[in-house]
Amino acid sequence: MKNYPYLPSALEKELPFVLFLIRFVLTYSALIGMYQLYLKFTLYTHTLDWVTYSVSEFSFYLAQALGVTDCTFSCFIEGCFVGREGKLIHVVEGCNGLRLAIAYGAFIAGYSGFNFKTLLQIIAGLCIIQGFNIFRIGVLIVLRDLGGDAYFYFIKYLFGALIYASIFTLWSLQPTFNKWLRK
Amino acid sequence: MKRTDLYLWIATYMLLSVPINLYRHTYNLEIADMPLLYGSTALIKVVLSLYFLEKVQMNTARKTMVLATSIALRLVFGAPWLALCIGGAIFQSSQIKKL
Repeated sequence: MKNYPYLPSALEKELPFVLFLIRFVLTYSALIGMYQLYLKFTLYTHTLDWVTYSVSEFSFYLAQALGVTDCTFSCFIEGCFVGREGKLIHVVEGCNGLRLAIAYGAFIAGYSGFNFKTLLQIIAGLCIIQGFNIFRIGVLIVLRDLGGDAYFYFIKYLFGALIYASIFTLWSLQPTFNKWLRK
Repeated sequence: MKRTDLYLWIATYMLLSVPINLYRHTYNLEIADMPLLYGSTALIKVVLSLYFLEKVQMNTARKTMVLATSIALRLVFGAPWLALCIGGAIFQSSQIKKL
């Protein structure tokens, strides 16, 4: 660890952790700030945000591929409705997985610092998380088609736990990824 | 941090969320309609996080920093605050070479 003679010893001891937190918060704030600006722009232009639209569209294709016949897909400013008539799933901005994907990226930047390799890891992570989110919503459409509301909510939280578990497993593997990338 | 602890943390957190959300959807309530129930669940989640942060030998200063930052991010941006708590625990574990 570097020596910082001008810092009090208590703060110097905590410095790596403080820097991790600062990098995390800065990355998260910057990315979420850009996304909020984009959402303001969509509000101004009366359009739905591209991420929610794309996640809903791909989930619709997946649900069709998984056998939901007569699957419909329609989008409005407040979100998209996907599924069979009477059993539609409302995909809103909060379901698009981007906030969690941004948190994922913020941790990678916080842990490994800002460099090109980190950027590549963040982009790969965003794609994996969005892929998992599309799978989650696609399967939820199928389950909604087959089962009732209570079942649907339990599955919804089960998938939430699974997406969290997969992200945190990737995070816990970060020291290993860093070792590979250094080679 | 052991992976079993990590998964136990997520599972417990999610299990705490399920009943309150089922109750909300069953009676069609907003969070503002049940501040006491929501507040007590949030408090239990904070205590749960403190327990797991303690398990990775985090000192009081670090625990305070992690919780304060994650709750601030939650309030300002609606961020998933559990993510920063777990991220902090993973970073701490890698520092003490327990991963």
